[in-house]
Amino acid sequence: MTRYLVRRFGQALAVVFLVSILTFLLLHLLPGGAARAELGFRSSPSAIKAFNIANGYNRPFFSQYWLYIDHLFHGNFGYSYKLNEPVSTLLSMDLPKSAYLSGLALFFTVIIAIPLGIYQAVRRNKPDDYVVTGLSFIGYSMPTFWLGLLLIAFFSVYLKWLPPSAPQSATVGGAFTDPKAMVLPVLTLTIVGVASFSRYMRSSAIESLAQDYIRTAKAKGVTQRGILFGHMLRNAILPIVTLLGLSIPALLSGNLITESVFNYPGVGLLFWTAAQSRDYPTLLALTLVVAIFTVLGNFMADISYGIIDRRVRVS
Amino acid sequence: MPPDIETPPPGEIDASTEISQLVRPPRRRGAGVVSVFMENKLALVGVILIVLIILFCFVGPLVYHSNQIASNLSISNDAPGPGHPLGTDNVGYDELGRLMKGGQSSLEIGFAAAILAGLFGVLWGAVSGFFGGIIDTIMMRIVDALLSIPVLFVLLLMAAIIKVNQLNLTLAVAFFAWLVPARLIRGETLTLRTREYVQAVKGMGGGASRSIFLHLIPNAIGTIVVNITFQVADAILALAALGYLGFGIPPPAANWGAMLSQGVTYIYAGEWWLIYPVGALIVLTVMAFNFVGDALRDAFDVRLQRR
Repeated sequence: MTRYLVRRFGQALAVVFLVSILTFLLLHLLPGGAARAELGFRSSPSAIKAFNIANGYNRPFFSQYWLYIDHLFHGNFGYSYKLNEPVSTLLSMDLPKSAYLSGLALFFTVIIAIPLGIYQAVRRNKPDDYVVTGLSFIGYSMPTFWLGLLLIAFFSVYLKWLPPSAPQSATVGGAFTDPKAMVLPVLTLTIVGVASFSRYMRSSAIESLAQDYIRTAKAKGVTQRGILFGHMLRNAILPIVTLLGLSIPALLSGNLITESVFNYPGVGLLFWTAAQSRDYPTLLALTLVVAIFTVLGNFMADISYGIIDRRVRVS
Repeated sequence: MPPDIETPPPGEIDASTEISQLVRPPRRRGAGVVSVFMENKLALVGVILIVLIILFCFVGPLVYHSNQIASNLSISNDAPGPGHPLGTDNVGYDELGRLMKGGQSSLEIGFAAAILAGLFGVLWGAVSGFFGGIIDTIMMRIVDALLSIPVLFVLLLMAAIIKVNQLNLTLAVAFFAWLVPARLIRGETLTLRTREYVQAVKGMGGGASRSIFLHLIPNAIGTIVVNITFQVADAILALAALGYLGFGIPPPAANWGAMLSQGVTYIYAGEWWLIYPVGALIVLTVMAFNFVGDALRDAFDVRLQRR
């Protein structure tokens, strides 16, 4: 297990390293370089030179990359000249709020999608399975923003039950105190998540219900409940764990869209407003952070894979 | 099992069985794919929908003429009525004609990006899987690194840096879309390369490119086609999201996502024609491609057919 972990960790580090090179290169691909991006296209050559010297952009390429990495390790993700604040401060404000939204949505997704998938697998090719499959196809094909808008149109504009915007508080504590406003954003992300995960769970459960050990269990006289939760679940859930890890980029993208639809002040909204105001340091830093989270997610999925399935640890 | 020869179960063979009955004519697999595909009603619905949407977007403007060049503020946000079956948008463009125009760019970019990504991904995956070892490790770590960058974030980043047009948007979508086919094909190649017929090519002195292009890729065609279908759906979704966030192809070009985000401004005014037709069209298009992709996967997956 230790060797497996060490190897996976090494791979994760290599991926983060590659991504950091990518964002670093993007910073250099900006039209006119970082200085023009910050100071504007009408800035004087002397101002640009001064900016480059002050920020180390006149150094050799590799030395610049080293500086970039050194800053990252000291928690310096760059400085947003547009918002006049270090990116790390912006992150520490917005990240908990995004985590709160994603966490809630993921929690509901898992506790709804897994039983639903198992139910569909048991009732395979019966009318109720078809109905759920049809619904999940619609949910799967639905752009997140369109779903969010439909929910706003129905619950806020038509029924007037729920507010159309998410909690606007600057802190995550404020978001906790306004549960009513959280309902629609969480519901949006949950519907999208359930639509795809129940489908994966269904096919995974069907696959493992066809295995020999299920037949053996049936022959032994194990009850339906015992077969489903004692024998099938642990095997069927394996691919789902990997898929959860792999779906983190999609989750984060969904988060970005949901946050912009409901104006929820998280990392996604921060990224969107940064893109609108061409706030490059923020954009690049957030891209890196998002990538690190994805790698971390994949790594954790692999670890839990090892915990659930002992065979993985041996190989 | 080589696809051309199917041996009946042992019980069915007796002395009277002719050799020609054991060796079935080739291309049976292809026929099976078509019949399984046709049996699936959802797939048929999907294909019909795709054809209708393509006709709507590309033939529609030839039949239904509308002014999509000059704006006319005196007729902005008009309700559906004579002359404008779906009303007009906030600068007086005819909404129905705009839907057609927006669909053109969505479909063109979707198809082009999916095919481009499919070709490159297949090549990358096949090479990686065929050679294995250190080449495979390096090539797959690159894929992993790119996969861990959320596409939407990078598309937004790109749109913030350069001016978006149809060509660079296609390339950008394709740049991230080749990763999944590359992984799938690599996995497929890993099992295919141990098969006898690939070993035979090696034994007879056939080079790597011969094995890859004539043997590995044709045998992985099912996986490739299924994935390209899903990629089209994903590309259309990504484009709509980008347009909605305000970074799609700028006007006077039309895109569905941007139309929707403009329409949302009037959601409280009850101007439904600006929101629901375009939203429904996006969902229908994406759903049609998903239906077809799903059915194709069933059709190519021999294991599922037996059940």
